[in-house]
Amino acid sequence: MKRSLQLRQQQMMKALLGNNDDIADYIIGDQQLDARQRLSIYQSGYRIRLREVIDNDHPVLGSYLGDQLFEQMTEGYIDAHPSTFRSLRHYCDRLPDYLRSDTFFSQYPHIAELARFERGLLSSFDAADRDTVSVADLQQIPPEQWPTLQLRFHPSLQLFNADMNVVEIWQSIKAERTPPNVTQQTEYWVIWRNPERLTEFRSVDTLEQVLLDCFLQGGDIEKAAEITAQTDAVNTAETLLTYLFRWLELGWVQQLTDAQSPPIFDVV
Amino acid sequence: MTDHNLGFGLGLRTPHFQDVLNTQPDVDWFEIISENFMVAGGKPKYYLHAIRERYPMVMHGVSMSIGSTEPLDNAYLQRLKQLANEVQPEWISDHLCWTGLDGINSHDLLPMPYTEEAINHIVERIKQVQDTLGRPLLLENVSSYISYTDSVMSEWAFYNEIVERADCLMLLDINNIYVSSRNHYFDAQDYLDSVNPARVRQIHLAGHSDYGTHVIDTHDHDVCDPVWQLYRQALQRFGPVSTMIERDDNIPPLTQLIDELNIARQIAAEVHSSKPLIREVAG
Repeated sequence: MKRSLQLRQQQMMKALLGNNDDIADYIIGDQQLDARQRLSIYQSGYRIRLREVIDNDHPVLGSYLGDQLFEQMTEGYIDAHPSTFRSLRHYCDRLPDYLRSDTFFSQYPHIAELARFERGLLSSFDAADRDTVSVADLQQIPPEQWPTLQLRFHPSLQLFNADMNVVEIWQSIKAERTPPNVTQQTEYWVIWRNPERLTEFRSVDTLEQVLLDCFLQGGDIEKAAEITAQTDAVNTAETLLTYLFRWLELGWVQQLTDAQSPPIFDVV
Repeated sequence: MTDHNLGFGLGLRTPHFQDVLNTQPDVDWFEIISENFMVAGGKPKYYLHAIRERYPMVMHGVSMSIGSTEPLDNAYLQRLKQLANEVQPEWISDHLCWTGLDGINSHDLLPMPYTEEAINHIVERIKQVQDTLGRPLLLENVSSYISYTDSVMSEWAFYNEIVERADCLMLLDINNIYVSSRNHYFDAQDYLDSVNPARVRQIHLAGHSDYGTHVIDTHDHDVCDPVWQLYRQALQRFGPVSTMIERDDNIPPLTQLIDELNIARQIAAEVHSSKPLIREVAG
């Protein structure tokens, strides 16, 4: 008994995914609308819905590509990636990978990078909420404890490393200006959600990126100071503190912990 | 108002979040799409909690896939339960349909064949869901554009049988009844007449797109006159029922939706001032 319901659902899914229309033999048609016309309402609805998600999630990428290439991308992605998600929020998670591997789009690697940047913005937008610690909180900790302090960043904070000027291109399109040509250059960006719940991004220099990475990997202030000392920074402590205070002021840090003891400021 | 009548509500949509907080409009309650708030944090969760502090809410899901032949997604049900713990909704609803198979989601509300096999399958799954959630589930009738040759009964016979056997409740979408009646050439009044009023907990109203040969449930237009007329007939049969307008596309300003909601209020006032109510008892 169970098998006929299962079979119909398998046939319907095949029709939606464009594999075959066998299900039409089990749909009642009439003079107004035959079975295939009725089935096509669902088939076109499936693709329209997914196209809208890509359009909504990637408006800047859409503007950059223009109608024809955007359609090529959406149709290719929908064919290659049926949705495996309950929520459409995640449907485009594989879009950057798709663009990197597609025969046509992989010729233009910055297109995948534009998609990756837009997904990063979305990830920060609805990442978990956490209170953050301030410069004053850090200053309450006795200086002798600082060397073993570790930083835990806000869940919305992400490092976006690129080897081309993709963020500049994104910004130009967003501002409806002519985007610059693609240039190969190493860039480090941080994406995060500010206390007003607005998503922001900011470029960071090489040392700042290395220090952020150090803390993200579980390093402490002593380790960060060693890294800073190996650079041409004139004053190691002042350089490191400038970064730390900036991160605290921007609301990037949710927790200051000491590896040897329970969290000092745990505001989770 | 009867015990469960929340009055007149709206579907809570992103473009209206700030307006709702700023103006605290004359809306009795809001319905949220559960999946839209199954995120970790940020603006969606902020507005959800801020608006919940001011208004009663109900949760409406679009991906439970109660009719699918793939196993129920327990991880999804747990997330739904977790969201319900946060929101403390008056009730939770989803659709009498299936949405996917073998891990692939169509993101559509696909109709069932109206068979005994499907009834048995769905009734068992509703019981599992209700056990997991620890509360009754409301199931909504969907708009449909196809009928399967396998079907051996009407949509309303199928719906009523499931609701009675699973001991769950109905979210009756009046627009969907109208849309399906046009697409499948039945009398919408027959549908309404078959429904046990005691099972009806909530009503949806919405707009659609009329293509002449068929009608599609697009939720991007105002509620049309025939649907208002059907709503009037529904209230005459069911008595006061929590009613809301669903708008998902081409979303107008909040004030315009409230004007539309006031039409529902007016119809309800006219119906209930002129007719004594007799509510049947759930079997």
